Amino acid sequence: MNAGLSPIEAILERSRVIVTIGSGGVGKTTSSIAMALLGARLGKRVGLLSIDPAKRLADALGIPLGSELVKVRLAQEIKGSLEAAMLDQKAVFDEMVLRFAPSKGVAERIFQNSIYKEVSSNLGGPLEYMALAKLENMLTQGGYDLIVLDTPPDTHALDFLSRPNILAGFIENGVMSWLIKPFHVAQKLGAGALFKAGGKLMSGISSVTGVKMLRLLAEFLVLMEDVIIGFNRVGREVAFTLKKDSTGFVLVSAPYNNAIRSAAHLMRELKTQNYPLFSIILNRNMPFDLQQTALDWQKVGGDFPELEPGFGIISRRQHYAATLSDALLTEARRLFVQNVPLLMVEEQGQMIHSEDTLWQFTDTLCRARVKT
Amino acid sequence: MQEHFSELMQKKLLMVTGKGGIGKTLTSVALAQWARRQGKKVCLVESSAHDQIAPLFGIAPVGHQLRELMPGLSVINLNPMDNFRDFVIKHLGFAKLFEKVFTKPIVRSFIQTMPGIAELTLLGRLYYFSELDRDDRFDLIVLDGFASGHFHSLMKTPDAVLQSGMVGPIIDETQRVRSFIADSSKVAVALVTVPEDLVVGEALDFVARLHRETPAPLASILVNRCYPIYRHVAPSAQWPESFASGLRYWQHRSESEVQNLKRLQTGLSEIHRHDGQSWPVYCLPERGAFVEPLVQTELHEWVAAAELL
Repeated sequence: MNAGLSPIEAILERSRVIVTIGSGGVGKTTSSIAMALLGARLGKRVGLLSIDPAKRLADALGIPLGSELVKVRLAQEIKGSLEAAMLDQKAVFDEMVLRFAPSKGVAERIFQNSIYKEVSSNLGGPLEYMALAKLENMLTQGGYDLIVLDTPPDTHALDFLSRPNILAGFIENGVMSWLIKPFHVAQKLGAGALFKAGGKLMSGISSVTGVKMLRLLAEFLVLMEDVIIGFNRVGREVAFTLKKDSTGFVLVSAPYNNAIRSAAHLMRELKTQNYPLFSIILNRNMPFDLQQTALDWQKVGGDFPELEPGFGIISRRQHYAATLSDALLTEARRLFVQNVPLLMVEEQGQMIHSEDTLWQFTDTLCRARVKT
Repeated sequence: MQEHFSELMQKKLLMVTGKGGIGKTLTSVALAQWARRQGKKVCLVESSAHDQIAPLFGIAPVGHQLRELMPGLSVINLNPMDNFRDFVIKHLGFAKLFEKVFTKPIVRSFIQTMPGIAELTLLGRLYYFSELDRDDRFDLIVLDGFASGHFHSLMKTPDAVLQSGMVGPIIDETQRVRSFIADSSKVAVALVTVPEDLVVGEALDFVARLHRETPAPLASILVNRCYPIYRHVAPSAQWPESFASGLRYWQHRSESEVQNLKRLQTGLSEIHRHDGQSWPVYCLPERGAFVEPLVQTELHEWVAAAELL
C-alpha cells in the first residue's frame, strides 16, 4: 500500500471497477462521485456511471442526463481525468436498440411500437440492465483505469444483480419462440389460426389481456428478439467481469436502523452470489468532535437541564450510531474472510451542489475513520 | 381546531411516500398507530424485497401473509408474484386459468419481465384491501409507499396501462383501480420530508409533479427530524469543554432548519398561487433515534408533538 494514501484512496488505487450499492438516502450517489473524483486526483482515467442520479449532482458536474459519456471539465486541476454518464432511461434504451437491432428499419419499427414507448420511458425496470450494457461497453472500449458504477437504491440493487438471470430465464425457457411462432403463422393465416397455433396457453392469456395487446406484445417481442439476445449476452459478460479480482462492491450506508438492516441484507446477497466487498462507507455520522460532547453529556448532562433539548438528541444519536455500526462490522466479519474496512464518515454541514462542495466531501471521505 | 392528521385518518387508504432514508417507514407505522388509538382497525402494507415493518416490532419477516402485530393492527408485505396471482384469481375471477397457465415456469418468467405488472397488481391489491374485502377486516390501509420517484411512476401506472392498447378484463379493472386512487374522499397521500436544503427542493418538485401529472390526492406534508429551536443559552464555567461544539451544532442546525422551512412555505404558496391547492404541513421533532423493538408510547409521543407549520 502506498504511504500517505487515505484508506479510501488505497482501495481506489488497487481497483479497476467499483460498484456502489446501498439503500436510499445514505449518500450513495454522492459517495460514488467522490470516489470518481479521488481516483482522477490520483492520476487515473476514471469513468463514472450513475443510474437515476439526482439532477443537482448531474448539474454540479455539468453533465446532462442522457446516455452519453461526457468529459467532465473540472475547475480544480488534477492529474487524471473524469468522464461521466448520468443515465436517462429512455436515452439508454434507445441506444441499446440501435446497437442490437439487425437493421435501421427494425429499430425504427421498435421505436414506433406502443409497448416499447411505454417500456422505455414510463414504466420502471430496465435501467439497471441498461447500465450493465453500458458498463460492458466501457470495459471493452473505454480505456479506463477505474470505473465507478453507481446503482439505484435499495431493493433495486438486488434486481440489478439478478436481472441477467431473469432475462436468461426468459429466453432459455423458450418464451420467446413460444410466443413468437404463432404470430409468424398468424401473420400469414389471420387471427383464427393464432389460437390454434398457440394452443390453450395462448387463448388463456388472451382472455385476460385482450387480443390487441397480445398482437402488440408479439410484435414487440419479434422486433426485440435480437435486442434481447444482445442484452442477455452483455449481461452474462458483465456478471463475469464483476467477479474478477480488481472488481468489487462498495456498500454505502448510514447509522439508521433500516439502512443498517438493508446493508446487512445486501452484504448477505453479495456473499451468496460470490461478489467481493471492498469496503463499507458509513455516511452521516455525527461530526467527530460531537462524540466527546455526547460522552460528556452522558456523564454530567443531568446538571444542565437547559441544554437537554439539543444535547439529549446528540447523545441518543451517538449512542445508537455506535451500536449500529458495531453490529454492521460484526456482520461483515462474519460473512467475509478478508478484512472489509468500515469507513466512518462525518455528516456534511452543508448541501453538496457544486464542484467545490463535492471536493469538500471527498476530503471528508479521506478523513473517514476506519472502525476497528 | 381540527384534530391533527384528521385529513389522513378519515380515509380508506393512506399512502406514505418520501425520499429514502428520512423516516418514511417509521412515519407510516406511527400514523397507523395513531389511527388504531382512535379505534380503527388498521393494516400496514409494504412491498419490499425484505420486510421493513415486522423487524421494527421485533418479529420475524411476515412476507405475503397477513399478520396481527397487536389487536387492531396488522401487517403484510405484498410481493409481485403473489399480487399477480391474487389479481388474476380475485379480481379477474380466473382461478382455473391461473392454475393452468400462470403457474408454468415459462409464464412466470414472462410475467417477471413484463413492465408495469408489479405496479398495477400492487395497486389492485390495495384497492381490494380497501374496498372489496368481503370480511371488511380493516377501516384503514396504510401503505409504506415507495421512495418518491418510484411512487410517482406507481401513480402513473394506471394511465400508462389504459393508454397501452390493451383491451379486456385488465382494462376494466385498471379503470376501477384508477377511479379509486383518484378519489380524495377515500385515498390520501402523505409526503414525508426533512428540513434539509436539498430535500426541501426535491419535496417541492415532487409535490408539483404528483399533483400535476398523476391522479393521486396529496393530503398532507410531514417534515420529519425538526431540531428543537435554539434559544440563547449563557455558557457556564461548569461545562465540560466539549459542550461548546455541541452548542454550535444545535444553533447551526436550528438556524438552517428555520431557513429551509421558510423555503418550503414559500415554495408551497407558489404552488398554491399556481394550482389553487394547499396542504397542511406538520413538523415532527427530531428524536435522535428510536429504540427497537418500537415502544408504542415513544412513537405516539413523537407524532403527538407534531406542530402545524
